[in-house]
Amino acid sequence: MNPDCERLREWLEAGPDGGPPPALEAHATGCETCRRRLALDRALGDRLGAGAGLSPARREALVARIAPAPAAAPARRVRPVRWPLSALAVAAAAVLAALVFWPRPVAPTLPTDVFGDLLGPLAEVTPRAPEAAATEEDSSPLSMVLATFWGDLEGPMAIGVGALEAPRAAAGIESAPPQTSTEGNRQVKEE
Amino acid sequence: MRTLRTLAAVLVLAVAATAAVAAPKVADLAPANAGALIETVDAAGLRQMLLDSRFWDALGQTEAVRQWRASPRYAEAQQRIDQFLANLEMTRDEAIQTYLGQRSAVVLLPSGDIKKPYGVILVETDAALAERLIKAAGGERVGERHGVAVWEVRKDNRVDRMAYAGGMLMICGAKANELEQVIDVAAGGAPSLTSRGAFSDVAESLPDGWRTRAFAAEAGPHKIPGAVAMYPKDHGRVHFEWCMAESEDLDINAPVLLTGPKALPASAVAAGATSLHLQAVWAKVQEKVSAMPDGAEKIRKADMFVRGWFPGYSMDAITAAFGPEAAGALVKGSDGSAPGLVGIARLTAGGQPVAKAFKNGLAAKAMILGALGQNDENAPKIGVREETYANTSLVIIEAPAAIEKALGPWAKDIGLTVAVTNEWLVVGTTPAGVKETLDAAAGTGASLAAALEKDGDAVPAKPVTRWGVLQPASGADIVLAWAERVAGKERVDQIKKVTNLAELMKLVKRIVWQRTDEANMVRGTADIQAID
Repeated sequence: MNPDCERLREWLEAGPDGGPPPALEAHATGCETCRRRLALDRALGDRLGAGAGLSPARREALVARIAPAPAAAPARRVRPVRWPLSALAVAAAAVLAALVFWPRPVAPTLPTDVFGDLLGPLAEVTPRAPEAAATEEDSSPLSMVLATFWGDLEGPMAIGVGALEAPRAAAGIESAPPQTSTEGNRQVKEE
Repeated sequence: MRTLRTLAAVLVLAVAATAAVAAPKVADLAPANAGALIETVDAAGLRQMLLDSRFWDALGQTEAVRQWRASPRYAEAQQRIDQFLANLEMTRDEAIQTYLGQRSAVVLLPSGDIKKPYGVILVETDAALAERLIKAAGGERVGERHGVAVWEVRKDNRVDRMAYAGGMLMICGAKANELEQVIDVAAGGAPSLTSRGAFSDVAESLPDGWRTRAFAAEAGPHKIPGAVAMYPKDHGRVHFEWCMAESEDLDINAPVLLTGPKALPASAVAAGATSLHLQAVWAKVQEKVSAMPDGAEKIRKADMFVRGWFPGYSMDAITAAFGPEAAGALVKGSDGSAPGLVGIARLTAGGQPVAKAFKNGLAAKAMILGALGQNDENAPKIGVREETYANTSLVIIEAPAAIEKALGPWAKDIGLTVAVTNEWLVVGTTPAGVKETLDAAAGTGASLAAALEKDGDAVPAKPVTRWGVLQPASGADIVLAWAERVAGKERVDQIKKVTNLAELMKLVKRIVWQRTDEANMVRGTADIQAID
């Protein structure tokens, strides 16, 4: 659950007067669930306010009738209600079941984030995919020999490095810069 | 009895068919336009193998990992993992074993930006466990496609999407319609990667039994389909097989049975051998250059330049003298002296006189150059001497003052050395390296091939196009010293600091690879051996 959803729920349960704080109001405009909750709360408030409202005179009369009653009433022994044991067990089981099976609010976690987190150090230090080859060709014999052998491995190496890049791409982690990983390379997708 | 047999056969077939249906190929779920597919069998087991390795310990000591572990991002990551595991009601190992203990994969789909493809994670699991993970992530069902439920998790303006189809839980960041593309294949009958010929040609032609296999639709500088598969072995060995859909010129790259590794010395820390078809190479050069505007003139100049090194011989004679293979090695120096580069070219039946002409011509040129500079104080002093070693004449050309001035006392042993045997033209940067090579080639000294075979790494017994070996653990210091001289000390120090390169190199005992060209395919293998 979004923290704002949680805060709105708490605010509604507290039942203060007036509207919710502006931040929660703004959140509710973009959150379908919270918008409906807020609308329901307001509708209930409106209905109760209209239907249960009493005039001052009527209120005073009612209070006058109710106030003496406790003093006048004789003390009475209240007979405890005896619930059958089986009913208690059923109730307890129901409460327990509700506790166990009632869907708990789950704080959302992006699976791609967790996937990236699990990659851990590998994502930090594995090399990034090679850039395009340098345009300037070195035609010295040693360079040509090295280039021949490097050329053999270039394709498979590119696939291997690409394979290391793939989980990073899936987890939304930018490639590590070539010489440092000290500044962090995770960038959220909205960037 | 016959009925029972028939019934048993039907049952076996039914079970086999069920198994086949229950476990489709991962590539059957990847869209045909996928740029890459990386598949893993039992990633959890591979992870454990990595965690148990000395490589992992060394990785933990690197500057990059130490800084990462000390960073707030690491703490956030651990908190996020813990929260997720709490929701999942599993320990970390349980979760990894449960969800990554079977097949898993990452599919990369084109996004328009080649550097930022869309990625979809595929995890083989059952429907109940998939739902458990989705719920643990706080997923909410938002719709369906081809009857497959689509779930979303929203957090901090980001959205992940998930679905379960074809026995695979699909997870991706919602950037575009990448999840729909995979569902369309898994449940909607859209063409999959297996329908693409290139995938079958390269990825499925690799031997079975791999633990990780990567396919790329456009790999390497030539942007061609290729695949690499990994096969972990016992005792710190990892074997790789690779295949590229590349059509090379077989006249130039025709595989040969390489004997170079048997002629190179055991002190080599890095070596390579290649097929060498000089006549085909020269024909190809002529063909290419002659198409240029001033091609004929360029060919004439090249012809003269090459013949200048082989006095008295024509280009045809020169190209016919060498082959069909050549090899080279970086050999250790002794007593702190410079390591040596040694190159050898195999001589054909009539090649020895041509090679000797090269050796003698080289000596003559050096002597003339030395004589011309005698009266010039600034010119490098060149010395030419001849030495006999193991019944073979060596020409050694030295310019000690100039080389030591440039590279320091470390380079005191450097001297261009040339020798010709019955089978090889040997050229080296140090007399010591050439002498070791002569011993190995004659069978009187330890050869690289024998040293490798003793360690269980046989040199190719069948024709190949190229072969190479790197022995970082024994050559790390040498290679880094060379790297410092080539790339600069500051640059190498910077890389060492970040990756602890020297430490990691010392953990790799050996890398051996080979390449074999076929008509429309290039195949190769590589073996990496960790230190004992």
